[in-house]
Amino acid sequence: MIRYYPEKIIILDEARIRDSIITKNILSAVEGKNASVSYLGEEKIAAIIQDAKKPENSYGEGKKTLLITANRGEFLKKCPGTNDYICCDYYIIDFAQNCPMECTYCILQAYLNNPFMVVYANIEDLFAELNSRLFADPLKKYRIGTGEFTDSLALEHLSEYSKILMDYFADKPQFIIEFKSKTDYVKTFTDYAGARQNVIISYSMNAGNVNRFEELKTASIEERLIAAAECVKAGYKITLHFDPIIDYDDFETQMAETVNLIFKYLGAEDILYISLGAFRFIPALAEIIALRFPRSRIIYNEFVKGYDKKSRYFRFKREKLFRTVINLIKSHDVKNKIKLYFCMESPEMWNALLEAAPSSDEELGGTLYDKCRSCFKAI
Amino acid sequence: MFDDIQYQYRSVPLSGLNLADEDNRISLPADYARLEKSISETGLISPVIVCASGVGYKVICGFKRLDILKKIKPGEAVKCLVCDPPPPARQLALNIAENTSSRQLDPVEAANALSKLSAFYERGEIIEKFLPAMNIQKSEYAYNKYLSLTALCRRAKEFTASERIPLAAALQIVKFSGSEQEKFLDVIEACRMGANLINETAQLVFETSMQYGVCAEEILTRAGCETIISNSDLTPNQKTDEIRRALHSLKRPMYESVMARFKELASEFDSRKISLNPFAYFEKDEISVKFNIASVKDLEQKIAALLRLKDSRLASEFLKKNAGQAEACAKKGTRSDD
Ligand code: SF4
Repeated sequence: MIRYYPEKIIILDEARIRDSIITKNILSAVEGKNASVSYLGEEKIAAIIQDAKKPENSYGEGKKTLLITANRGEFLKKCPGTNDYICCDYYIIDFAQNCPMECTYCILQAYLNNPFMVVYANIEDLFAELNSRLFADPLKKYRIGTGEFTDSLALEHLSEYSKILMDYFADKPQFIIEFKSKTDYVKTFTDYAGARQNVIISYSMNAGNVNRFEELKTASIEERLIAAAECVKAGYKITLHFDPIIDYDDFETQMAETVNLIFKYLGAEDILYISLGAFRFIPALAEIIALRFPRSRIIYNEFVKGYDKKSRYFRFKREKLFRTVINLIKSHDVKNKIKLYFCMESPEMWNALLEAAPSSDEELGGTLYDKCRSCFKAI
Repeated sequence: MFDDIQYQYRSVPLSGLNLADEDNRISLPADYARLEKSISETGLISPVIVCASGVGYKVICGFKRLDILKKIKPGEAVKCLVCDPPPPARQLALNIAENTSSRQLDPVEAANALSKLSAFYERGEIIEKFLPAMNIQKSEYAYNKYLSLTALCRRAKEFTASERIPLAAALQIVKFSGSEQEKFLDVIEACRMGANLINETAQLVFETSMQYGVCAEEILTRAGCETIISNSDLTPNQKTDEIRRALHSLKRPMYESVMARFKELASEFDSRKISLNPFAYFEKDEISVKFNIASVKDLEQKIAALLRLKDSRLASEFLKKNAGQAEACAKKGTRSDD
């Protein structure tokens, strides 16, 4: 896949940002790539963002600029759930925002109010916050990811943020850190010399035609799986996420090909768990998809409004899509080594297709955490 | 911007104007009833602007007025402001400026103007300079939106220019091929649909065609539109209802099938006693039951109705997990089954 390089870099003109290891990594990685670099104050940056928000250029054009700035809010956030669907009690480090990979369905298009690629370089603040919050409840089973407001590895070749986070978590094995990606970038992991007993590398999976037509600048499914296999060879455990599962042409054949590919490159024992989530979206996203990707048909289907106010496939359609994927996985994982779970699904869906629904988000989070810990002990 | 142009006032016979030269025309030749009435009562108040061109004159501004004069006073001379020929880009810009100084362009005129301007100006310059003058938002999105209307068929353009079709619907219809547009217009004409219904129907046809990956004509055929509109026993309102129902069934087959089954089973209950609603069922194994109580006797009746519900077919199908129902619904309308 083609890696992202910005045309323009704007750096917040504050000593801790200028001198941050993140800023230095990025500047050294773009050397010779013809990126213009400017150091600007907060007000000027706010004005530029405002200007770049004009509807016609805010989505695609904005990503040509990389903004290196400070996160003034919280870094550690809980993945938001709703009462009526079961969530997996996941935490996120908000280290960067936006993504250059252009998936048609990407929620960031509707969610972010800044069109630029953003990296937060105030890592001292990040570590201070993690130190004060992660240890407050010693019984809490933290699974922490970085791929919520961006792809975990989309900018890794520039910033090496994941490597810095691995260093931080290396002597804290009680916390599990997950890097979730649609790239095939592995250098950080294969070159890493430190401990990896709490690191999960995670890949999004989808039907091949969804990958080709709706995930426009990502690595192919096979490239991701080759990367996953390299990570396994380097001593890491893998998780996979079928999310969003989309009702697409030739669904069963295309999905079968993807599942076959998974087990061509990975053994069931390499995969800790696989999550399944069906396509869902807020109305604002549908408008953006129609505008930016007029050929995409994903928003035209039979949807109902879920309890989270998002449009989702009619319940029986979701059930049918999930059943297909689950059966395909189980046909390879005959010993049920891989834990399967749903992302944001109703207890009814769990009861129909998996084991009995967890009684709470914490219960599901705890099960996934325990599964990781028991496998890591075996490494 | 046009202050430097010098004009001479002249009366020119219609035959002296080269009316076939429509380089600067942005309006559709159509029926302009109000303008026609005003010209026939008070004559031409604003002269048209022309420039010398060969033996006759080329029209820069005033095409609509000339259409009317040709129709109602073909033998009369026309009041003209004559100038030396400006470059073609300026002629067009002058026509747009003259039109927008007194009124808002209709969407088709705006589309024609943008299309003609693009022969002379860069897209960025058009967006910056001309869109604000046309009272259109200065953005690439708006530019593309209006420009796309040039692909409307002739009839759809006339309907849009005369506001018979609202802009939102025109923007959906333009995604159909020319013959599909004609078919769609036949439907809205036969049903005498108003603006809101035209919008809704255009959107339904477009979205359903995307959903099934087929053309709009195929959706109109699957919905049986031709049979419905040619049924002389139906009133326009009834035709509209039938078409809407057919389109919704195509768009939401599972919903319609579950709703139909629910309604059938719920009809065993007196809706004045308890009101049954399936919406919760679309996500969970639950239905909603609602009732008010006015007296103790009333309460007893409600309890009796609830007890009947407990043993009903409705409860057995909708409250318990019923694989048969789920399977049947799941098989209907799933794209991968098509
Ligand atoms: S890779 Fe993830 S974050 Fe990036 S565009 Fe695709 S969905 Fe969005």
